[in-house]
Parts: sequence; structure tokens; C-alpha cells
Amino acid sequence: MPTREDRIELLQGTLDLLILRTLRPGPSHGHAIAKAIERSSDAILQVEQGSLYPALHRLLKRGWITAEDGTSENNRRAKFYRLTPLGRKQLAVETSKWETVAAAIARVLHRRERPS
Amino acid sequence: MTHRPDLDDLDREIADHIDAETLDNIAQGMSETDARAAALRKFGNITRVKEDVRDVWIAAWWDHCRQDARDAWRRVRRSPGLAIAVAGTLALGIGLTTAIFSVVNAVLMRPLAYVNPERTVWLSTVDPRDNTEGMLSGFDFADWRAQSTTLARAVAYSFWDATVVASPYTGRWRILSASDGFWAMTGAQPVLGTLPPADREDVLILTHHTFRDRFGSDPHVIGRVITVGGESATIGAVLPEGFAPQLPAWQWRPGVDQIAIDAYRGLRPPAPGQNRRAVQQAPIYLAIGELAAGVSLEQARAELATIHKGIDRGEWAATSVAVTPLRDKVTGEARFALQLLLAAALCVLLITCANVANLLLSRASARQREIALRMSVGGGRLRLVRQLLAESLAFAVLGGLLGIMVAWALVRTIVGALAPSIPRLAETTVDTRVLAFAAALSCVTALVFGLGPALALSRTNALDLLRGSSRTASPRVRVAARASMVLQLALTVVLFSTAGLLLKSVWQMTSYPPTLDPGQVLMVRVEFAGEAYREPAPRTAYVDALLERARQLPGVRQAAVTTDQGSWTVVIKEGQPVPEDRAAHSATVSSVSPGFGPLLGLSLVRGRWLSDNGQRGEVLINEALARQDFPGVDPIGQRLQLPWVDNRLGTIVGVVQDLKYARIDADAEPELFVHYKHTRLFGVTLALRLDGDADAALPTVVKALADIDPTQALFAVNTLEQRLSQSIAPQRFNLVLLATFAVVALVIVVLGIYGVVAYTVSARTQEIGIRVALGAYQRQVVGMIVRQAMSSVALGLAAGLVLSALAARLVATLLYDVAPTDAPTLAAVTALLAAIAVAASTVPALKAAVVDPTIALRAD
Repeated sequence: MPTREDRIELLQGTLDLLILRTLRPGPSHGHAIAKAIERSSDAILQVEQGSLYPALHRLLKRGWITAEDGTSENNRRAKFYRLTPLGRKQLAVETSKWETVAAAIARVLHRRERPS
Repeated sequence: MTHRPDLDDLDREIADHIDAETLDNIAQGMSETDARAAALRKFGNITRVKEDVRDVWIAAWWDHCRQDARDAWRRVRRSPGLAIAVAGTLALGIGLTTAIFSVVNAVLMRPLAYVNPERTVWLSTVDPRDNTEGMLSGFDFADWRAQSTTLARAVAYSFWDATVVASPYTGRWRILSASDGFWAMTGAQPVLGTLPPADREDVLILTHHTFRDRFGSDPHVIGRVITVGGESATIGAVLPEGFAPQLPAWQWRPGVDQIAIDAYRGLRPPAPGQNRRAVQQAPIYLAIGELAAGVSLEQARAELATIHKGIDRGEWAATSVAVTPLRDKVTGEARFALQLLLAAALCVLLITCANVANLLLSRASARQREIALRMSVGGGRLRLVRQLLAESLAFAVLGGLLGIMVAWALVRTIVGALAPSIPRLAETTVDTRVLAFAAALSCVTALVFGLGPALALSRTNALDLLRGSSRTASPRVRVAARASMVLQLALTVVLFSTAGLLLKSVWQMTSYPPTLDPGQVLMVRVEFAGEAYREPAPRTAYVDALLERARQLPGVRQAAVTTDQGSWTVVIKEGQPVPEDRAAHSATVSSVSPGFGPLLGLSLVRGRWLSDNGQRGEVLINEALARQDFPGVDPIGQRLQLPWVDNRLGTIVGVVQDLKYARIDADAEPELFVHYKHTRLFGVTLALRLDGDADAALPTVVKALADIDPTQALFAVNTLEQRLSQSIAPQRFNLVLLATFAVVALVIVVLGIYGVVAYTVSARTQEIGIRVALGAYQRQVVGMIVRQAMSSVALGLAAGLVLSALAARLVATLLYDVAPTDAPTLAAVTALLAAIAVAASTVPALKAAVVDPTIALRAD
């Protein structure tokens, strides 16, 4: 398990992107989303789980996801979030944006190691 | 944009989340307590999360609103001239409407001053033949009260004007006598003393103003013995300030209830079940009642009708019962006039809105570029409209605040100047309901005047505008400006023609015989009181003395007395039976001194006046009576049965012309005059015709007359002019307010026409410059602009005339001797407004025509 220092605090926009990505395979509820983000990043990206909810509502408001009532895996009533077509499009846009930025940063970092 | 979901679910969702995390932790081998603590830690601050979620939804619209408000306020402040014009115009419209609403609120909406106002009813008898209100006999009242179960209470009352001597003070008081139940119905709690039993007629309960003004608020006044109407009475209690239950007066003595009551006392109605055949006289009352809980008006009506039918009234006229909600009785007549005034005020407000919309439109053309720019970079239309509306709202709030001040001032003026003309008007104040109304009105106004310009602007075609000149207004904006001008003018025509019709009515009402100057006639009333005047002889002697003394006074040209339509009779001709339809053959009877007719400037139509020495049996009738009972017959020499003495006949000696001196808004009533020496007098009105202004001579005259017998108070002293104008006070009230509205509307419209023309001219500066440069005469340019404005003016006037015709039909009942489609009035109004409209459009046209073409052409 990574130590506390290794965990990276998420920027707001990044969390939104991660949520969208997590929902791509299908609808999910709050706790499951938090777990999925943790799991798929090998617990390096640590969400303070509460902050997930304002982010979900931000996405709801923009119309990128919708919420509906459903039953969770352990048979409890839960709110399921689902990606909308608009959200799916947004995910593509954000992903490519993120990749561009990440690549740019990588290039910048890489250039410092080159001999001048 | 998505709608805000139900945030109540959030609590459950968070709880579920933490439960799930706890279960996960337990599965990893933690103890239950540790597992929950870890889950909570991992979740973070729950309150904060909830706040953040809420903020996601609230922040946006709240931020937008605040931003809009800030923007709007900044814009308003940036153009103070426009702000003053808009807020000032709005203040007038909102102020007028709010003031009239305050009156409506007080007169029609506020509950009556009774414990159960909705269950308080007016009890009266109705003459079934002509549906007029009859007199209520004390015996009938007693039987109703004894037998009714639908009425929880029934209270008889009557007004009594008595001379009060509380030495050194002597004066005339209006005293209200009320039977048992009155204090319970009004919920009165005295501030001093205790309320006496209702059958004590010799204990007075003072109103607060009497206590303060007559007795200097001296608490020792309780128990003091004073003389009231010649008999002694004790002061028992003092009522709180503002105690003023609404008590209607007799229909045949209108306005009696407009005089403030000085004191109350008990009233002992006769015992129920009296044999009507055995009595000669019945006390006459007015009555109110309180329906028992859960009883409907219809039930009470049915029950009282049955009771009333069961009464054997012998010789007394057959009547039926009327049970009316007291509210309808008190303000029924004023209701229509007030609704009319409210409609007129709303007209002014609509004009105001149209005008402000115009102002905003003309300025908006300057902003079209900004708006086009914003829209071309993706500004939302909805957001834009909202922003423009926020700006309107800012103006409306300013206008509303000023308007409340205007309303407050107006209410004070109206109440001060016109209080006696409408029942309950004196109760008018600016209360919270009025303030709420003003606030709501401001918001609605903002929507009305803001929406048009906002929509017109938001349809701006961005590309066209950015390419073109900012001075070229879009056709949509120009059409909107024109339309609003037409609307304003049309409404102004309606206001003016209605005011004109009312003015003409009042004019007709106040046209006196040419020989009469009502400002020179002074009238004084005396009603006999006290032991010394029990018999007819001293009364007649007093009147003789009064006349003689009056004639000797310097400056008095003529003096006469009248009992002022003191009684009423059925006209029975000699040798003929009592007419079947009594109401159609009735007349009011006045006992007069022979000089009364000549004093009022009346002329004889036939025959002669009553003789000076007062020969018995002489009768003078007026034209209305001659028309009613002697159609096609010479009435002179005809003999009538005199009403107050059985089987005595009187001979008609003359016919005098009609005069409306009591209520000039009604047709002249048939009248019969006899000499005062042959009737039993209860009181007389002395009329004096003076050489000069009656007002000036008043104090000396009254002083000299009072010296004849200081125990007889002289009251209701006023000039005939004042009396006449009081009798048409409601009409004057309507007229004054409507005329005010019309003038305000006119001012606004003149500004509006000026504004629209000035704006059109400014939008066409280049074109005008070209015309001038090409050699057009100034006269031609002015003519062109005015002609174009006139097309809207003509349309407005025409529409206004059509609307006026409709409105006039509504106000027909308020008119007197004037047809609703009175051509001279309508023509005069149209001509006046057309002239003013031409003037208002000529000024900016003249300004435009003197423009220097080089400057005009350079203008952007």
C-alpha cells in the first residue's frame, strides 16, 4: 500500500475527468465510483471520498451525467449515475486535452535532461 | 441546463456510502468501531460536503442575479438624466395607483369596525312598491329581536342632535343612542369609567375626541352631570381613541352619518308584541344585527320575512324586510366610483409604462451595438433579456420608492380635502397591504415596460448592426415606439373624455337660477330643545323672533325659514280616494315663511306666493308636483287634503319653479309648501340673503341670533354654496381625481410624443442633413416630420374615441344631464389633444430643421 506521502491530491477538473472515465463502462453509485478510482490508480490517486459528491453534482448540472434510483450490489437502494451522450463527448474532449497537457508537461520535463 | 435535483436524497446517499465503506473495512479485518471511524475519516467533513453540493446549484443563479443587479445599478447610475426621467414618470404612475388603492383598501377591503364584521348585517324595511328603503318602526324591531333565532344580536340606534350645556360650554352634539348588544357587537372597552346598561338613556359615553376637546382630558369628568337636550345626564365612560363603528344614516337624510359622533347613550326599544292598532306613534330606528354563527344571509332573510309577515300592523303600511351585509350598505354606492378611479389610475400607469418603454427603447438604440457584439460572441438571449429586465427592475424599484412617497402625500391630500364625500374615506392610511401592493405593482410595471424593449433588442440581427450605423434603429424598435405612442394617446383620450363628461355633469348640477348667488345665502339650523319649547306656541314665537331679528341685522336683505322638506305626504285630491300607487303620488312638505321662494331666486310659474299673514289652508306647489298630479290641468284653486290634519283641505294658490337645493344630483322632487305658522315645528332652517359675501358676515349674524335664546343652539351654519357643493361631494371627488389623472396623463404623453419624435429625428439626422443640403426649406422638413408623427397621433386619437365610447357607457350612471356620447365634450377633448400633440412634435422637428448639414452628414 502506498504511504500517505505518495498519494496525489486531485485537482478539481481532474476529478471530474476521472468520474466520467469511471462511468464509461456503465452506471455506478457514489461509493463504487470512489472505490473504482482508487483501485484503478493503484490507490495512488486518493479521493477524499466526500469531495466526490460536489463533483457529481457539478457534472449533473452540466448535463454530462444523470442520476437515477437503483439497487446496489448488496441489495440496497442507491443513486446510480449514468453518462449522458453529452458527457461521453465531453469525456473524449477532456481526455484528449489531458493527454495533450500531459504530453506537453512530459516534453518539458524531458527537455531539461537534454544537454544544452 | 439541468434542473436542480432533490437534495434531500443526499443525506441518505452519504449514509449509504459510509455504511458501504465500513463494510469493506470490516471485510479487511477491522473491528466494527474502527471500521466506521476509518470510513468517516476517509469521507471527510460531511457538513462541508453537503454545503459544497448545495453551492453547486445555488451559486449559479444567485451569482447571476447579483451580477445583473450590480450591472443594472451601475447602468442606472451612469445615466442619471434617464434615471430621473424614468423614475419620475414611474413614481407618478405608481404613486397615483397606490394612492387610489389605499382608498379602495380602506373603503372596500378593510373589515368593518365590528367584532364579527362578516356577520354584521343591516336590517331595514323596504317599501315593496318601489323598492326604496322605508322607515323601521320600533315595534317591528322589537318583534324581530324577540322572535329571531338567526340573529345573535339585533341593535336599534338613532342619531340625535342635541344641545348640550356643560357650563360654561354650550354646543350641539351628535349623540348616538343604541340599544342592548351594541357594545358587544363593537367590542368597545372604555378607557375611563364603565359602560352603563343599555337601557340607561341618561348616561352619556363620551368619544375620545369629545373627552379631549371639550373636557381637556380631565379624568374627573366621570360622574359629572350635564344638560343634554334640556334634561340632565351623567357622564359614565370615555371610549378609546379611534372607536368609530360604521353606522349608516337614514336614506332620506344622506350625509348624516358623515358627521362625527360626540357621545353615545343607551336606547330602550318598546316591548315586543305591541298591538299596532292601539298605537298612534312609533319610534323610528335604524338597526344592525349580527348573524348567529353558521347562519347564512339567506336563512336570516327567510326567517325575518316570516316574522315580519306574521305581524298584524293594522293601518300601518305594508313593508317587507331587507337583510343586507353591512359592508354593502356602507360602501355600496362608493364601490363603483372607486373601481372607476382605480381603472383610471391603472390607465395612467399603463401610459407611464408605455412611455418608459419608449424612453428605454430610444436609449437602447444606442446600445444596439454593444448587444450585437455580445450576442455575436455567444451571449445567451435569455441572459440578455434577463439583464435588460434587471435594469428595468432597478428603475421600477426607484420609481416605486418615489411612488410610495407620492402616494403618501396624495392620500393625505385626498383625505384632508375630500373626506366627507365618501364613506370610510377618512380611515385611509398607507398600511402594509398598500406597501405590498406598491411593491408588487413596481415589479409588474418593470415587466410591462421592460419586456417589450428587451425582446425587441434581443432580436437584433448582430451582423447587420455591426456593419451598419448605430443610429439606424431596427424597424422592430421603431414600430414598438410608434405603437406605444398610439397606446398612450388612446388612453389619454379615454381619461380626458371621461373627466370631461364628469366635468359637464358637475357643471349642470351647479347651474343655479340666474338671480341666485348661493355664496350670498347663509343658512342656519335650529332644532327646538328643552322644557320651554314643548308646546307649539313658543316654537312659532321663537321663529317669529328669529325672522324679525334677522331682518334688522345690517347687510341682511331677505330672511326666511323652511323646515327643509321636513315631512312627506301622499297627495290626496278633494273628493278622491287615496291613490293606489302612493309612491307615484307623494311629495315632500316644507313649512316655510312666505319669503322663502323669492329669497332663493325662484320665480312663480302661476298664481301667487303664500300670503304674509299666513291665511290657513294656503298651499304652494312646485312644477314637479304639478306635472305629477295635475297633468294638463290648472292646479290653481284645486283643493288637497292637508297631510298633518285630518279632513282639512288646502287650496293651491301658486306654482313655483323647481329647485334642487337638497341633493342637486337627483331630479327635483315634487314639493308642497305651507306657512310655518300652521304646522307643528320641530326645527327650522333660517336662510338669509346678504348684501355681500355670506362667509364674512357669518360670525356677527350667528352671534346676534344666538342672543335671542342662548339655550337653543344654532348649528349647521353654512352658505347655500357650501351646502350645494356638499351634496355633490361624491361627484366632485370623482371629478377632481379623474381630472388630476387626466392632466398627469397628458403631461406624460406630451413628454412621450416629444421623446418619440426627437428620437425619430435623431435617427434620421443624416437624411435630414441631405435634404437640407439639397435645398429643402426648414418649413418643409418640419412639415414632413410633424406629418409623419401625426399619423400615429391620428391613430391614437381615433382608437381613443372608440375606447371612450365604451368607457362612457360604463360611467353613464355617474353622469347627470349629459349623454355618454356627448359630442361637444368628445370634440373638445379630441381637438385639445390634437393641438397639444402637434405642439409636442413640432418642437423637436424645429430643432432638427436648423441642423447644420455638414455636421449632420458627418454624424455617425
